[in-house]
Amino acid sequence: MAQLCQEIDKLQDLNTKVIIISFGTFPSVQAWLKETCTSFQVLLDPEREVYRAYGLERSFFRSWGLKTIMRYVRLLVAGRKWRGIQGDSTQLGGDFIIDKYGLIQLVYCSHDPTDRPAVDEMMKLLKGLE
Amino acid sequence: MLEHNQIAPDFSLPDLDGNMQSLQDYLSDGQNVLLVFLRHLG
Repeated sequence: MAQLCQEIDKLQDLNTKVIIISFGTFPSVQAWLKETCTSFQVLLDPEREVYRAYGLERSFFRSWGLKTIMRYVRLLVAGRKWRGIQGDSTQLGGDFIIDKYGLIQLVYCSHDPTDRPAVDEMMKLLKGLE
Repeated sequence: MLEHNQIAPDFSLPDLDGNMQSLQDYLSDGQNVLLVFLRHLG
């Protein structure tokens, strides 16, 4: 997310709004924003209805694999505060690019919480929409 | 599973100030939208 935050000006130049959807609680999302990027617009989906509408799955085993645990350890070592897990920790995430006509141009459903699309690839796709 | 070039499902959700925001609001401004659904890692 930090890398995406660094691209916020370029994203604006590409006429693109970044919308973060979270199933977390209001205080946890505020704390997360302070640690990552305050430029993002955040919407709350505690019941995860929109997660489901976009086909995002839940999985305990994919959510809590070794890669995820190691990532948490690295974040904590780097100084991130542990705030506990808010909401359904088995909910998997994803990334979608929707063009200005409302058509989906990228569907990326994460295999696990550490799995994200490359920011460079998303920037390239958005440049192609100009 | 959603597919490339499919119309994105619209939604309406509250922002951190409690105001409802919909996908259609952003699209009607002529903007592309990058939707990031958070994982518990953030």
